[in-house]
Amino acid sequence: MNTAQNLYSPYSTSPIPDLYEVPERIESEQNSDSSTRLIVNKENITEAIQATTKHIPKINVALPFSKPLPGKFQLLQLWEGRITQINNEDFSAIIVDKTHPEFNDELVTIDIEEITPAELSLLQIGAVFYWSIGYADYPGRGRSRESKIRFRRLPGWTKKELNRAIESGKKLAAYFD
Amino acid sequence: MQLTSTDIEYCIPLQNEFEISLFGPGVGECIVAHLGDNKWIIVDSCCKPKSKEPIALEYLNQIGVNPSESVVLFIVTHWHSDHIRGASKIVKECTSARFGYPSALLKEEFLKLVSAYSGIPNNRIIDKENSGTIEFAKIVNILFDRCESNPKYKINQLVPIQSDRVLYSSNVTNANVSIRSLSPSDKSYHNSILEFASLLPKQNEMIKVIPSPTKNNNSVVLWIDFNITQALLGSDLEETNDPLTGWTTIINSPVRPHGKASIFKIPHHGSENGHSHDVWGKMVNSSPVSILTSKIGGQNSIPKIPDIERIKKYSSEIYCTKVPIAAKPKRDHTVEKMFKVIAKNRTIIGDKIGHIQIRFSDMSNIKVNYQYPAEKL
Repeated sequence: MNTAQNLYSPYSTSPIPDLYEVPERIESEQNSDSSTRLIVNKENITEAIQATTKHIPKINVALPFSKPLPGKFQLLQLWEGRITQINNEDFSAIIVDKTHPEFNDELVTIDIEEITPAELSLLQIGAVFYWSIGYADYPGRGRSRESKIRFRRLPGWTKKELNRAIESGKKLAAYFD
Repeated sequence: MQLTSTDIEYCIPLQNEFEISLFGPGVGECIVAHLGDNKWIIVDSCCKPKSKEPIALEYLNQIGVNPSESVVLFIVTHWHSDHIRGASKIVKECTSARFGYPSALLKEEFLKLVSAYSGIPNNRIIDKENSGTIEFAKIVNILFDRCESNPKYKINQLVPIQSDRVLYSSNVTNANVSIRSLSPSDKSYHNSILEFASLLPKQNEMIKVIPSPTKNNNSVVLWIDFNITQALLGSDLEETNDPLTGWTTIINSPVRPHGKASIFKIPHHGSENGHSHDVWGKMVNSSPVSILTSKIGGQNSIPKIPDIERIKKYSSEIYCTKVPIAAKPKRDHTVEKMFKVIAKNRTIIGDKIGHIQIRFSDMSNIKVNYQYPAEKL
């Protein structure tokens, strides 16, 4: 059974689900220095803590969609790119055509704005990304052209991998020495 | 007397006729040289964009030379991807050739790096097509197999290179030829070892394409004596502020050749940081045939116009495997429209390979042939 929470779909008729309980308003009083502070009974601090923590919102983890958004993305073109240079507003990358492998590589400059903020930390020289262009067809929105850049995420180097490389390098060097 | 033509000669040179052919697709470089008596040397490698085959092998086959018999020496001047693409195929096919490499490349630090990024069990590696370490890993595997099957291979066929070493010498009728390495210096060797060690990834570090090294001071520079005509092949060696590395250390070496080269393969695609006034004054004659490859890379493309102007002051004859604006690939109309919206600048890398062919028997009779997109500057 899939217990994942159904996320909000703009096309759904059901009400928007709360991701967390909305906390009750915590009373506050105005200080003379115009800052605010919580009213806490110092003689019964335990109760105060319990009362306060009771209102800490319960955060439900947003699990992945159980169903993808309705609609489809028709891929027209895919490149694999690797970052060669990063400037203040843009970055340069060499892109390899995955749709037409016979075409030559190209060096392109792209605005950093094209990268989703969540992936900005992955923007590093040498990082690999995929750039796709296609048609997006979503019910009620018609057809639109979309360009998506997403970075390849690989687990970091493991100790085992590095040790294996170090041992292999040592053995080969001793062999050729 | 110097002749110039835009027709490459697709025939084997005469026994006592020498040749230096320079190939450049825009990103990449390869030199094929005839040492007389149907003996050939290949320096670095690049591939034909469409066939992905090493241009050196294709050219030799085209003019009727059997690479497995006639190539006596293959040198990889450094491990950068633009100089090493297709090199493993050359090593594999040229079974008689000795293999020359900067000595740091078969040391522990570099082999660890190669194993990390390109080891056979490591299949998570990305950027397979473009990595110099992938190509070098293939070479190491071939060398390993050959050493296993022939214990003398290591001593007889592997040529670790540092400065001031004689790599080849022959003395046959009308063809006295010797090849010497002028770099890398001892300090460059140690700098390379340190650089390789610093490039080894650390635990939990994000996996990326191997970072491109910024320095080229481990490159092998070659000096070739063809009878009384000399050639200086500058590889990618740069000038540094350190007297123990780069071009300065070559100029100051008491054992460097004291002739002056008539043919100069300009270092590092004519860039300013590859320039040394002393090299032009002390190692190159006053009217050399200068040849160079370009490196296409958007705003970082070299040579730049000021570079060409500078080189023209030193050399009246300059030929470049220049890659002009290549034809744009024909993609779907929607894709092209979107491409233009997203990409601010766009440069097609590699398209056709420029070829400069210099044939001569002595310095008074040098023929320069070149083929589009190569051109005389």
